[in-house]
Parts: sequence; C-alpha cells; structure tokens
Amino acid sequence: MCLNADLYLKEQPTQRQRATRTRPNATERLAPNPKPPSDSHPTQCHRATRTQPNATERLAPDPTPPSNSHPTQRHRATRTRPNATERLAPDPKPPSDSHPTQNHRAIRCINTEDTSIDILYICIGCLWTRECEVTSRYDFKRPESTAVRNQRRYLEGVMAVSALSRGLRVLSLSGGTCKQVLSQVPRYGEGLPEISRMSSVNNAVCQWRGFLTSPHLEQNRTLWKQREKYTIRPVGMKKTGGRDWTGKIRTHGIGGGHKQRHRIIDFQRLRYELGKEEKPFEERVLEVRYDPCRSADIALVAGGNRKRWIIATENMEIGDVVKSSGVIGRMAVAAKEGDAHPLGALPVGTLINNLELYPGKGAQVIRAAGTSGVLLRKVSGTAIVQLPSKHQIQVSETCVATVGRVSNIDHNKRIIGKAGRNRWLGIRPSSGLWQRKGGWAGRKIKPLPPMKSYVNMPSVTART
Amino acid sequence: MLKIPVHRCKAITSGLKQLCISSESGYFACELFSFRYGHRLLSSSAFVCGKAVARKKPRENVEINGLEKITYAERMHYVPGLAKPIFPPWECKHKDPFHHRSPSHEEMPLYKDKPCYVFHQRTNLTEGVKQSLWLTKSKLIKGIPARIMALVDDSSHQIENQDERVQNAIKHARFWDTSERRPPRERFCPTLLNSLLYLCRLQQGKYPALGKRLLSQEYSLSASWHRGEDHIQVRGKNGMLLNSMSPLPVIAEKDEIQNTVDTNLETFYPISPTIDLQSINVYDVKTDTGFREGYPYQHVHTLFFAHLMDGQHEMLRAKMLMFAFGNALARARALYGAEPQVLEKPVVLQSVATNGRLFQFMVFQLNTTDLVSDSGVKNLVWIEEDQPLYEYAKVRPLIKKKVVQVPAGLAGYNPDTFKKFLAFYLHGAV
Repeated sequence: MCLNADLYLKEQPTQRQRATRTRPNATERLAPNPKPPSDSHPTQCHRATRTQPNATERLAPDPTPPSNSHPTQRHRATRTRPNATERLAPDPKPPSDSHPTQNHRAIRCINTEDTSIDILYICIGCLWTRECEVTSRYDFKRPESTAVRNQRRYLEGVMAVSALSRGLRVLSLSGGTCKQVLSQVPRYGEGLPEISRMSSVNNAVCQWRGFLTSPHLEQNRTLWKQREKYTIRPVGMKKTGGRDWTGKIRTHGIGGGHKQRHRIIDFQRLRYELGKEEKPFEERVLEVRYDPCRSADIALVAGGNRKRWIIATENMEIGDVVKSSGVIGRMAVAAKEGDAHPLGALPVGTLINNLELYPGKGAQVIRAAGTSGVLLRKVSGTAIVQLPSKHQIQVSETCVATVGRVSNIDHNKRIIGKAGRNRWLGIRPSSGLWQRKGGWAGRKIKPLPPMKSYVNMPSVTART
Repeated sequence: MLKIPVHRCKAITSGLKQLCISSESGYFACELFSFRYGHRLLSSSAFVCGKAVARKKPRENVEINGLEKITYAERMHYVPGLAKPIFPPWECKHKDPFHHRSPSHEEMPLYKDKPCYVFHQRTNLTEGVKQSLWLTKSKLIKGIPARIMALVDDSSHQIENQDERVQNAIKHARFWDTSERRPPRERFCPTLLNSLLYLCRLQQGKYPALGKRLLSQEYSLSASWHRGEDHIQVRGKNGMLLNSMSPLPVIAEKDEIQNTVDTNLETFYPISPTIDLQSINVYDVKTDTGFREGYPYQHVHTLFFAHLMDGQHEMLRAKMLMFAFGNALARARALYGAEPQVLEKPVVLQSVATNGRLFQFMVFQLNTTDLVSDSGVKNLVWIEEDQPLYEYAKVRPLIKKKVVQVPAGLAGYNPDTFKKFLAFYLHGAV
C-alpha cells in the first residue's frame, strides 16, 4: 500500500524539525491526535503501542487520503493543503479508494522537485489497465536548512529507486504481508539510521531477499565453466560451497578445501581433428598426472596439431602411443590398453572404461579411479556391458569405449588419516546428531535391476 | 470470527496468501493458501525448505510474419503480458577507445583463408629442438665449430685477470646488486649478461674491429616461409641483437654443405611439426629485419637471450634456433632477394642464451632459403648446451644434518664457459 518512500520523505523533516526546536510548541502542533490514521484498508496494520511515544510528537498526519471512487474514472488527485507551508509531516498514507482489490501501491515517483514530490499510485489489480491511477503530490514549503534539504534530497534519491524496485518486486510477490510491514515499520523510524534497520527487518520478516542485482548474481556466476574454446591450461575454479545458481544449498557438506584448478577433460575420445575426419588417429602421451577434480589420473596426449587431457588408464606412461578409431571391422581388433574403439570392434569379454551411452556424446560411465566394465555380448547392432556396479546396460555398438581399467587403482585404499584431510578435500563434517539406525543400515540383498537400454532412444545429434 | 494477531500475520511468508476483508464490520477473515511445494512451516520461510528450483529455460521467441508485437517500450517499464522490446544495438556517436569493438576476423583486411603458424616469444615447442630443426630444415651438430674452438683454446685472446673479473661480475649480479637478501632471477640474469658483455667490449682497444658493432634491444623481427604446405612465421621481439658491419665468416665449407643433402629430417609422428605454434588467419606476409634500409650495421652477429626461468632449457634452445633462423632468413632475403635458392654465401650468426648460471651456445648457418621440400641442402646448426658458469652462488650456506654441503658465496666457477662466451664475441673480429 503505502510506500515507505513518501513516509521517509515526510518523516525526515519532522525529525529534523524536532531536533532544532528546543521545545515543541503546542500551538504548532497541528494534530495532537496520536491515533494512527485508521483507514479502511485491511492490510494495513498499525501497532498502537509503538505509535504512541512517537505520535505525540509527530506533526499532523493527514487523516484523509485522497479517496476516490473507482475504476471507471481516472483520478488525478493533486493535493494542496491550505496550510501546506506549515505542514512538515504530510500524510504517509496512500490514497485509498474503493477499488475492489484495495491494493494501491506506489509505483514510482513521477515528479520530484525541491518543494514537492508526486507519487503515482496504481492499483495492482488494475496494473494492466491502469484504470485507477492516482497521483499524490506532497509539498514541503517550509524553508529548510541546508542539512535538511541535503538529507531530504538524498532520501528522495534513495527512495525513488527503492520505490521503483519495490513496485516491480510487488508484481512478483503474491501476498499482502510484505507490504504491510513495508508501510508500517518506517513509520516509527528514527531517521537515517533507520534505513538499515528497516531493510533488515524487511528481510527478516518478508523472507524475500530483494532484488538480486549484478553484484549478488556475480557471486553465483560460473564463468570459468562456460568456456567455448578448449584449452589444456588449468582453469581457475570458484568454490560453490554446494550452492546452486540461485545461491541456495544444493548439496550439503561441501565447502573449503585446497584451491583447485580444473583441467578440461576431453571425454569424447573419438574427436576428430578438423579436416581429418573418419580416419583412425594416434596420440602420444606427454604427461600423466594427478587431477584434483576427479579420482582418476589424467593424461596429456598430443596428436596432430592439438593437445588434450584424457582420463588415464591403468598402465599408461609417458611416451605411449594410444589409438582412437571409429572403425567396426568384420574381425574384432586386438585391443591394446588405452586405445579407444567402438564396442562393436572389440572382442567380447574386454575390460573397458570411459564408455559412451550415446554415440558421439562423450564418455559418461566408468570414469572413476580403478573401475572397469566388461563387454558381455554383442547383439544385432547393440552391445551389452556390465558396469562396475554389476548393472547391465545395453548401448549401441558404435559407442566408443577405452580399453582397460581406469588409472589410480589404489584410490580406494588410501587412508584419509584424520578429519582434517577431508576438510582439505573440501568435504565438511556431517552433523554428528545421533540417529537410530533404521532401514538404511545393514546389508540388503536385492536383485539386480533389469537391463537398461540406451539404444532405442534417439541419438544426441538427432535430438538436437 | 477469526482473529489473527498482527505479528503472526507478519511471520507468514510471502508464499502464503492472505486475504483480509473489511475491518469496519469487525470481521477478520483470513484465508491462507499455501501454493509453493506444500511446505507449511509457519515459523520459517517456505523457500528455505523448498526444493531448489530448476533454472528456467528461456522462452522461445516466435516470429510471425505480418504481425507486429506489442511491446512495453513506450511505457518504459515492464508490463506483464506485453512483449519485451528489442532495441537496435546502441552505437556510440563518437569514437571511444575504452569501448572499441574490433570487427570480426573475417572482416579484417588482412584476413586470409589459409591459417599461418606463428612462432613468437611465448611459444613453447613440445618437441623442442627436434621440432624447430624440422621447421627450419636444419641439421644439428653437437658442440662448437672448430673455428670458434680455436679461439676458445687460444690463451692470447683472454682478458687480463679474466677469472677474477668474471667472478666479480658473478658476485655483482648474485650478491651485491640488491638491497634485498638476494636478487631474483629477473634481476641477476640480465645483470650478469650485461656485465659479461661489458667485459667483452673492453677488448676493443686490443681488437679495433669490435668497434664496428652495435648492440640493439627491442628489435622487432618478422620472417615468414613455407614449409611443406604450412605457412610459418617468426614474429615479434625477443632478446638482444649484436649487429656488425662485416658478416661472420662461413663456418661449413661447400663440401660439408653438400653432405647435408643426404641427411633426413627427423619426424615425430603422431605429433604434427606445427603443434604449439599459434594458428592465426589474420596476418601479414612480410619479411622485416627490424632495421631500416641502409642501416650501417647490417649483419647479424649474435643474439643474446636472458632466460628468466629455471628449467625449460629445451624450449629455450628451440627458441634460440627459431629466432636465429628468422634473423638469418630476413638478412638473406634482404641480401639475395626473396627467391628460394641455395645461397652463394651462407649467412652465419650466433646465439647465446643464459639463465644466470647455465649458458647455451649456438651457431647457425643458413645455407638455403628453399624450405618447402624436405630434400636438398639443409641448414646447419651447432649447439653446445648447458654450460655452467658456476655451480652455486649461495647467500647463505646450504646445511644438511649440521654439515655444510655448500658454503656461502660463489662455488664451482667454471672458467671455460666464459672463454666460450668471449670467443663467440671475438669471432669475426679477430
């Protein structure tokens, strides 16, 4: 309903006025009535207890808002009070009309001058039609001291912005709770420092975080991820702390740890170089090293005019030449560890890793340290693979997989040693709350799920 | 009649909708709708315990021909139901250097369809010298040529108190040239190189031909050639260049040059020779020595590199070779024209690099500018690698298990390295 912009605008000179005066003169009090202006608007809730001490000193809250009667006619109520020169605290209340939704809200300050301010009220229900626009003008004719004027101008600036933003925000909010608080709290404010208090109160009570402007959203940016060009240089990562793009916790127990840099892994092993399509190619291993972002080791391979990082297999060493091929011949190939072939080209029973689920999408399964899958059988253009979890999946035989076992086979035997090492890894402790063991505890024997097939689904290229 | 205290109302979150009707009748009616995820924790917010909302997919923009969208452009604020206005990109009326937008590569005048592979000062070749030998079509000979070795061995060319003065130069660079505890490599490496060059320059009284030389820094080189199907360039600034008025004498004679026809260039399949070179499409094909026409010191004598890193000496040698070749090629083109040919009089130049302790010496002889094919005459390069001038220059002694392993100060001085350095400098003037 009423916007705190105007509240502040009016309130502020009052406070100053009070401060400058040594003693409030009774004759100058235009409205000694401390009762909060009771209008018929239901959502406005006044707290009488808090009004009391303040209101005795407050000057002239105008009890008559521009009341107008409704939608068909367009209102432009410009209020000029007879004693505007003396009025220092004009009415903080908004124009209330008999529009059914009764949801007037200040949308923006449309005209801000030194001596007056026009505030546009629009009923939210009629926002689309703008049938019941109301404009209120508040004047400050009393000559002000420089300090007062500066402060008022500052507040006008602040409030004009917040008025607009709040007006917009209101569109996305549903309830009236928020606006009550907005209109109520600053009424009892004590001047400038109140602004911060107000905002905190708003946050606490409204449960609305306000506008996420660019500095806030910058926190959630993952620009390092959205890289178009491939590079073998390690890319600096920003820690998320388990938060998602909105800033809410998506995964618990993540935070801290050693700084890590991300080396972009090329999971699509059969990625042809430009101009050299459809030909098997070889690459030489230049480096095998630890990667903080995954459990397996990674290998830097170079072939042709490019270098890339791939997941290293168990016995990969510097100087090895690994081959990638997309050819499915009549005979099964003699598989060498580290080579990448389509499943159709490999003999049955081969240990594989880095398996694609869809041809050309890049490896999605069997990528963790020390894991391997088994090519169980090949059936009419499809291949059935046993995953490390003993689940069986059916994929197209053109899906490329690397032969062998993923490197760092002793990954599961490492000893964390102390709680602090998990913190180094960026894993936070779990809650420690004692909970009775339930169904999750203990060994469960359950049958394997039925074989999952990734074959009949359309391929990635067809879907996109 | 249902009364709800005000403060409770406030605690109700934004997810709950409240509808209150008319206080005049003394009747409060509150209807609470919970419409978000069904969370009814009134003590806290719904969105705190709500499930994370998936990021919305951007709505598809449908363009219908003949229909004009009604936008909220004229209202200057968002209006639900009206389309978002799309304005033409804003153009600055004046030229603002801080917001300059360069045209796309395709629109640039120097754009060419065929990429060029550029070697510059930040390029590190994976295969090192082997790769640069292929790129420059050169044959590698280990060691220093006999002509220069004769200068090294001849003690009459040495400076008075040579070892003492060189050790003073080292101590100056490593110990005295700082107000910190010890100078970093970025400081002591160029200092040492300049001190040694100064010692060499002092020989000008003895050998007046040394006066016909000029050391230039920040020269900019540009040389391009075709190697197989690839277009390769050496470009940019690197190192210091010692020019001289007279050319260096040819090191390998004609028969030795003819013998290079039989040698094969080493390949490194599966890696392409142009790996790690920067592939660009916007480039200018030009050959430029970095000096104007008529520059009196027109012959390259020696290239000096200060290598500010510990390690990566293979990369350093590859870089020395590439830049030496680029300089020689630019000189040869200037002298004999751009036609690819076997040179009548080969162009010889030297290159010396240091990281403040280890020295790399190289002599390059450009025999041919016909570089497209692998067959034919090759260029020649002599490389003497990793010559230490001293072993340790410690500010504090290295102590392990209470035993001094390396004493403080200069240790392990190797006089031969400076002899080579001096011989390289005197070569051509003696």
